[in-house]
Amino acid sequence: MSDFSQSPGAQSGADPTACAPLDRAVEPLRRNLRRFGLALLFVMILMPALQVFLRGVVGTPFVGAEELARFMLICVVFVTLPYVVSSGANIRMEELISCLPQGVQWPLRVAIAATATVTFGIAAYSVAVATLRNLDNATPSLGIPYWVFFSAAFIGLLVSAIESGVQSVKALGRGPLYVTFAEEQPPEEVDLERALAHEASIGQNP
Amino acid sequence: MTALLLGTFTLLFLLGWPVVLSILGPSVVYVLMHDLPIELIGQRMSYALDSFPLVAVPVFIFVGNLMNQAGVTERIFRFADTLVGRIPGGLAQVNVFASLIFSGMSGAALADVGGLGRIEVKAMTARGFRKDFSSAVTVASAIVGPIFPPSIPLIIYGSVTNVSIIQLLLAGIVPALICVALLMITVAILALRRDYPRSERWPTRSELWRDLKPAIPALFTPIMLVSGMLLGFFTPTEAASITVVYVILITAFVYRTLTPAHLLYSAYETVKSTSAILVIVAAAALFGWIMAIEQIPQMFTQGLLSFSKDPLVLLLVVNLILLVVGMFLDSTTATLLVIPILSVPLHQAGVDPVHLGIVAIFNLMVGLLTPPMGLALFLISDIAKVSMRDVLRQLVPFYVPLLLTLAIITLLPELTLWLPKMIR
Repeated sequence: MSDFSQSPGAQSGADPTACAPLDRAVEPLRRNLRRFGLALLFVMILMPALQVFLRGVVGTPFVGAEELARFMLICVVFVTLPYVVSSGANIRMEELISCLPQGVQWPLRVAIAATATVTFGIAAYSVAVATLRNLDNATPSLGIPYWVFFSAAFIGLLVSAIESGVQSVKALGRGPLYVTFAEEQPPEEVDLERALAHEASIGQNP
Repeated sequence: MTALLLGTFTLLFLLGWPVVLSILGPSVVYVLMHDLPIELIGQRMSYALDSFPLVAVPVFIFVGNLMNQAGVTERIFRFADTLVGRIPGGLAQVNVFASLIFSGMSGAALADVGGLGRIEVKAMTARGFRKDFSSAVTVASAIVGPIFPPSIPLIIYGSVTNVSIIQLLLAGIVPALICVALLMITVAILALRRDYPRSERWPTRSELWRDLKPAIPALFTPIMLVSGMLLGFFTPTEAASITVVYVILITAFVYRTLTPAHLLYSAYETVKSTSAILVIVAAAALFGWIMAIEQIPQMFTQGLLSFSKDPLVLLLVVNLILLVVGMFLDSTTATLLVIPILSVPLHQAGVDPVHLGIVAIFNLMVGLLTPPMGLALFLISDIAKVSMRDVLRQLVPFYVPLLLTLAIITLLPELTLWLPKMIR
């Protein structure tokens, strides 16, 4: 069963199921990349703490820990980029476009998705070229081959191009653009009213 | 060519293109048009992220998410309410005070307005404050956190200008405290005039202890962070990682509120924010490289230094430029695109780069509250469902403490620099 749902992407009146087959087709790719990104995140977060422990407590620092953390950062950013694209989490200024008439918004949304497809596609191609020209090189301390070093950027940009392509089709069909997943819903929200309702309240002066 | 590049970026940004595409699109076209090696695009983007200080960005974002999810935020708000709730302005004062602790962790003031801001407005409205005033206090106070450690904007500033991030984080402490004090005075004056609600009496010692006790482990987090860096135990990135371990331990074993679902949700939110912010860093590296080819930093440096070589005059000019830039761009984008160009002539004129960092980041944050395009204004009016005009009307008195803080930190660099000088 699918665990994703459609969010409108500021297009009212759209049929949320219109592009579901397209989303279902890329869902396994999305799910696996998201989970891979999370695994990389945890390794990257714990790496510097482990280094402090090894250096300060054990007395034998892990040579190359910084390089590994930097490599993990590159991987996390690019591997999760398609997730950012598909969920509409990119930083943007939506205010002006949402003030425009629907007739103007629609071609703009198509154009945004289409240019994203092309731009990410070219960027992915450029990473592929960079990889092929550096096949014999490796990073200094850990000796990570450059084809591994660049692989996250290539995969991330390529899948972002695919996600943007999917959004182009959705935008053309005036369907909702973004997808959210069941597991990314907040378990609970910060509740200040509950927190501020003291057991022995000092009370409020109206 | 440069004007065309910048014009295209601005147009795309204003028309709703994601920032990363507004930067990357014109840069890719430039590379193709000038027949430059295409692999430059991928290489520049990847190498821009090959930076150990930037590893601190996702780690601090994760800390902020974990604290929100595992109930740490609620404990700190509760303690803040007990501590400052009696001061005229009540919950508005709590809002200002708590922002000092939280804003820096979310990555940007905008993210903070979008996240905690919504909840703060809701809580203030429930206590009888007007929605427009609650919104104004929330946005005004949200801009303090990004100069108080841990601060994502300062980490990004440090990484693009090669300035010591430890010194930047330490330098932000005094200006942030000054700003909070001035904001709290403003809230108190407004509250006394308008008779806003507050606690009926000052807390007793036992009430204060009752709410302080559960907050102590959480309040210890920034103390551990700052003292660890000040004493040279760890780098900012290591400090961030240690903080994650510490927050996991206290929420799992002291508060017993952390669940796998909280951990998972926090991680999802972190990867989303991290990728959204840092992919802009990657794209901006390519854009910055093109600016360098076009000799924009050199041209700007010559122009500005021919106008004046007095550091103070240059700082005032840069303040004006950044205020305008901040009205249109979010702080990350502005830091990445504008700061590398502005910082060169100021360094040459003898302005301390750490001082410039604090002035620049605070200034960009003030720009977020300034019409016509102040992004924080748009966001809060959307979240709180209040017209922008009403928020602006309530916000007018808050420009006084914010601009006063900007003037103080611009004119008195020693206030900013005395803490970082301890480790120089």
